[in-house]
Amino acid sequence: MRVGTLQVFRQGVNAILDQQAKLYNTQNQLSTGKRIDSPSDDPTGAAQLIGLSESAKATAQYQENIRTVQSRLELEESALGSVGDALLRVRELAVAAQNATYGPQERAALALEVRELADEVMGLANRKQGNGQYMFAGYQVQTAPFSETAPGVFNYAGDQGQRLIQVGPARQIADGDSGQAVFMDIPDGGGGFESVFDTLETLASELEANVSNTNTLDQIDRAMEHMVGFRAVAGARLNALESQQGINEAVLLQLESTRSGIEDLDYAEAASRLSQESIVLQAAQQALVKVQNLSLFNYI
Amino acid sequence: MGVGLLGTAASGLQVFQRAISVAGNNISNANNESYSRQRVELGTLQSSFTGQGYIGNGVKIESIERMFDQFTVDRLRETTSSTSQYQTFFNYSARVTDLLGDADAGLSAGLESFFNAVQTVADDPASIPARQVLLSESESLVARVQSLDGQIDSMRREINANLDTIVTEINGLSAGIADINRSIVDASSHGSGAVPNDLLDERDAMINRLSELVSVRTVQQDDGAVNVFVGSGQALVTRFLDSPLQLERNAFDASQAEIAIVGGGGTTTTITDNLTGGQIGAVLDFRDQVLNPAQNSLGRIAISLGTLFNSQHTAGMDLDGAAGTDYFSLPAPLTAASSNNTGTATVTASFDTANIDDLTTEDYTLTFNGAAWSLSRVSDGQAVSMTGTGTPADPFLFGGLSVEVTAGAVAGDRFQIRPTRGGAAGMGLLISNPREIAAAAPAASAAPGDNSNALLLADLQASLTMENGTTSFQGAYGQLIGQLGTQTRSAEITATAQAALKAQAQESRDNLSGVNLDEEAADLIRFQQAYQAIAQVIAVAETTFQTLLSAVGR
Repeated sequence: MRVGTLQVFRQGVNAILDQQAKLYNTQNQLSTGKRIDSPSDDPTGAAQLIGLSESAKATAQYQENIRTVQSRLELEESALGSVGDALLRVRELAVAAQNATYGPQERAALALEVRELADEVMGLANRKQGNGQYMFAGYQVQTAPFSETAPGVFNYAGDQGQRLIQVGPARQIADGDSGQAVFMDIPDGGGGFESVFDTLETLASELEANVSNTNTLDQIDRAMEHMVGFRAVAGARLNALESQQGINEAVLLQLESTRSGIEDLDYAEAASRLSQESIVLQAAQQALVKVQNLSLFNYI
Repeated sequence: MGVGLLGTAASGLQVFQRAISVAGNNISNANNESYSRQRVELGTLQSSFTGQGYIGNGVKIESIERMFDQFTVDRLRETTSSTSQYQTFFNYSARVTDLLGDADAGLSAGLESFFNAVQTVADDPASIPARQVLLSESESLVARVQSLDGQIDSMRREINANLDTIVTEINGLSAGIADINRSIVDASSHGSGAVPNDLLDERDAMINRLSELVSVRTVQQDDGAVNVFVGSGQALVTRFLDSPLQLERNAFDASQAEIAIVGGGGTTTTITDNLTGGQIGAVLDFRDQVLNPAQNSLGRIAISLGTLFNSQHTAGMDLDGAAGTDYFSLPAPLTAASSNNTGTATVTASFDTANIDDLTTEDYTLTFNGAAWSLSRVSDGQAVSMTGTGTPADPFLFGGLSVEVTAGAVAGDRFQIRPTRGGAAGMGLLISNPREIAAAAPAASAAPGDNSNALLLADLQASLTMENGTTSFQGAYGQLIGQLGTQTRSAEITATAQAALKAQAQESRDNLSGVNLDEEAADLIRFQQAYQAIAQVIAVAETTFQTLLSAVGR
């Protein structure tokens, strides 16, 4: 078989070009650390990566949401704790006032402290979140929810809205409770409700009037129980958040490991491929030069 | 006797001188790709009769053969055409794939940031900064959609310009081949039936270049001319006559170039659909199979996202207690009457919001047959069923679209509907005041802390709202990338395979027609030795003659 001289040269050059292209590709993989440079390298993998990225970004956002809810619930929990402490002191005062040796003057002094504590509870009920919005206002977060419109008359300007926050693909958790539920709707033991402010006002009035406060003491106990209940709910939500956080973390880890399996380069394999391809390229270059030197014209 | 010997020797001298010059010509053309090596075929001169018998009179050149095999040349031409086709297709397709598939610049990252910003509003609906972030992410999303679409559009302009260049080059080559046909026929008719080898090489090179541009078939004529055909038998070159190609605009879409052939008498015939192979085939395939579908897919995501987001947004309430308004602006489906229509009917299309899940990436042709309207897909001509009568009260409904037609259509009138083609370019943001984001559920008065509607808006991200409710926005985008990747990859694999076949064909061709320098060197030595030997014959003849002369002269 005869071979054209140009063909010999062309084949030598093509061998070098092919090998160079492979080497370039491997070099590119090594420098980016990625197996997939273009979707055409692995179409199925590339489509999967888009889904994985969507899930990962969404899950990262859920983690962000969880941190937001956590800080809100912690603030709520601490506010409710302070309300509980204030009510405990009120209860002590109410019990002390039942002491038969106390006269009108002593009870008036106790009433003064009860009013101070009522102001404190009012302040706590009007507390703001880190973002400057009212914590216990339902959806009316920009309006101070509680006010005393006339002496002894308390008004709630918020609504009963309770915001849910997405913390997982199929999980929403409330980031608080409305002031209506927490401070206004305290069962009065007779099927009705009484606000904590009314209860404190009643107690102070009874002390000032030097009359018995036995019924009010019972209502204070119910209010404390009510607050403890909401605090427990906030605590339970915080626990749920923590467990959701763990789930999300595991999901992120799994997404990342799947992504890495599709996209990331096996360095050991790529490095040995690089050296193998370099050797072949060298051989192709040497072969071209060697063959080109062979010519009958050298002997004429 | 002496004269006969000199004559015999002289014929040898002349022949081997020519043989050396043919070898020299071969050596000179060793690096000429289109050159077919030539070989001197020798024959004996007619002998003279003497009383003793026939005595030879020397050697002559029978012919100068062009080493060439039509089958090999045809195979090289076919593989050249398909290699060039798949390589060109791959180059274009890879650009669209890499553009849309880029992890940072593609739509995917934009959708993620957009929906994360919706979540941020849901986290803190009364926060103006959070709403501001959503607005700027919405702007970025729209800008990203438009920029991707703009790059697709600029590729369309590029391929139109490219088609123009290719058509010009094809016309140049056709004219050249017709010219060479004439020269070959003229040269061959000058006695002795000798063929002009160099002209044949030149014509083969031109046809080879032509087949890089478009797939051609050739038919050899008895007089040496070659007729060249494209497509389904349209003649580019008939002997000395060439039929030029030209670009025309599509009957429905001015931005789409079509290719026509100009026949005798200046009549033009559109042959876009018949052209295959080569760069033209690649560009046309790319436009139909990659570019248009990719732009439609992008447009469909824009329209589906915009429509569903608008629906949910208008179901909500903004920060000031007002009902939500449309969030994104979206273009109506593109409709175009054929420039060949003779009737006066018009067609208007809108999106069927309730069935937007059914929206496809197809383009449609609506045809009137004189009595009824029928619908088919542009991509494959398949009929598509629709409901309704096309009146405003009862519009045609199909594929997430609602279409109305007015009276006045004449049989044969056609309209094209491209529902999603302009979706990405025409997307816009309608809201500029962060307070107008409807994060709350409708209520009697403003509820700044209510995030119920924002949660539902955020929910759209993972909802299966596309492809008849089988995938999400980003899922549909993933499918697009997967599909583009597959097309590009398969073009790459085919291009590599075709390149290997072309290399084989090239090798076969070169093994026969290519110059081998060692062979020529050997021939040079052979012819030189023969020349030297014959020169010796002349010396002998001369000595013999001198001997005789001196004998006589004495």
